[in-house]
Amino acid sequence: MKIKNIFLVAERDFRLISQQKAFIVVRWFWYFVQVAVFGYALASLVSVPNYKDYYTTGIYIVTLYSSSITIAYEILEEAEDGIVDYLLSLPISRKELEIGRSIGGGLRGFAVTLPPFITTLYLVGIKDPIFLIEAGISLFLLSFGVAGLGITLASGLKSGDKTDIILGMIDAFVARLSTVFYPLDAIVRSNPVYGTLAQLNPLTYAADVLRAALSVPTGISLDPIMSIVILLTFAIGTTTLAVLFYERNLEGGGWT
Amino acid sequence: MYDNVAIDVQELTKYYGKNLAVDHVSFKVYENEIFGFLGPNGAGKTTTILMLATVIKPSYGTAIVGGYDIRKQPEKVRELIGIAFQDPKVYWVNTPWEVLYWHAKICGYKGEEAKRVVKDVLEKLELWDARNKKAFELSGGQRKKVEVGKVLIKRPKIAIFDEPTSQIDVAGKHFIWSMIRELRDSGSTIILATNDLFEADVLSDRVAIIHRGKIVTSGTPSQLKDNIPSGDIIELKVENNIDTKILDEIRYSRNITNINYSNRVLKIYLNKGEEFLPQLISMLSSKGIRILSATIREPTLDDVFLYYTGMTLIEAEKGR
Repeated sequence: MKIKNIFLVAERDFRLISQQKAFIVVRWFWYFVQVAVFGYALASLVSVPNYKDYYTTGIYIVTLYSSSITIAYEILEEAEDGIVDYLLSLPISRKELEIGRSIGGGLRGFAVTLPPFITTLYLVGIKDPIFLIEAGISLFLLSFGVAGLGITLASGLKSGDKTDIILGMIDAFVARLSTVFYPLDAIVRSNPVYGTLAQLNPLTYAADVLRAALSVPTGISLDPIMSIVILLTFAIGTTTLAVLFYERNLEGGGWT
Repeated sequence: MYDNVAIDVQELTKYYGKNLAVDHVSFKVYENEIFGFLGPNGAGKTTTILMLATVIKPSYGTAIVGGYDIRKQPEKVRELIGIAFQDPKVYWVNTPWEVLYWHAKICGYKGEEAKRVVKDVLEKLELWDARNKKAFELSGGQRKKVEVGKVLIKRPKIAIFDEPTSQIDVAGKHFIWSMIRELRDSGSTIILATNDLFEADVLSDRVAIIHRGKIVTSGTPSQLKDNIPSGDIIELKVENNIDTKILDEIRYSRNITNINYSNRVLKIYLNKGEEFLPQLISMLSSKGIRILSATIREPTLDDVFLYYTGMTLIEAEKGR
């Protein structure tokens, strides 16, 4: 495997930022409205201390997730335009191609959410900059893993309609069955099954590592190092799946 | 020329679900030739070349490309092959410079060398002035040139062009043809997938005709034309319709190889057409058929296609 090829593919994917301007602006707008309106209104209702900070960090994680998962739609669009065929004809291995795409998609997801991230840091306040590095790693791993998930779904399903349905279903559960909006002990109290599912959800770990870095209380605290290991496992797992699906499925043709 | 085999296609087959797109296709392409792959849209040309380029996997059969098996050594095959797709594969916001520079780097060129090669190709393709325009600002012909530019940058051992001049004006066609010939002359083996009879005729050293996923014949353009068992074609344009009874009468009036009649154009494939023409004109005139024009000509690749498939290329395109 040539690192240079992975880097070139990642760089190409990262540069696709330039054609997402409208989407990026909409994402930022959505984040700001969620924080400024929804977050503040909820904070006045909820008895959890510092809920405004809790919500602001959580909604940033949702913004990061939704920015990274868009690679699934790009792959479908590329299949429709035949760009997938071009990429598959290049003198590089499928592994290099897919790993590069996951890294590029992950970096792009992270980069396009930098303004919301900076806003989150400003609103919540940075207590210890060292912990921010830890948070940065976990956020990138989440973004990288979600991009891998997007590639796996798009290349596995090979259908715009099916991908829409599955991503819509994941979207419905991914934030709600995590600690994005409410602490883990509250989820466990409401329903132990939900608690178990939330503990399997990578968004839980990314959100709580970010909160730990910004000293936002989270109730049941998860070990940050263990959280990063779990996020790393998620990223490696989805990328491996994406490599397999990319290799086996994309070459078969038959997109719908 | 035909000593060394560059591509050996063996029973290549592709199913999309239950739909058979390519049906046990076998042919050889020799080093340093332009191999025309002629057929109507939907005949299986693109699917075949996508299998050769290891973009899609065959359902059955294989091909040896430059000594490597497309199934077992796809990465080695991709190192040898360069492909210009039928539709330009570029994002609308990308510029020719961005597309070709990235392509050069992924093909192994480094820094300054990549910039030099891209500049050379852009100048050669007369795209230098348009190098920073977004793809949506380029004309169809310019976008097509960008696609051809990818092959010129790589200068691969085996170059594949999929309908390189479709939707391009005459000057653009000649320009791209000269690029393809130059590439062949510099040592590349070329596969040219086309539905343009003239392009296949003037550009190809050898041609394979594909129809409904099967190769119906192959050879040099002149061999294909000579192999039709009739040396002449009489072509008559008539004002009023000729009924089947008269067509049968013509068919049995002389040793005629084939008759094709559509849109008030009658094509008769036979030997010594000049002897039969006066007799034919007088016979049709006596039956009240007014003849608008009459010609005797040599067969074209369209006639070859008609002979082997029972329909002209245009009729095949319409799915008749």
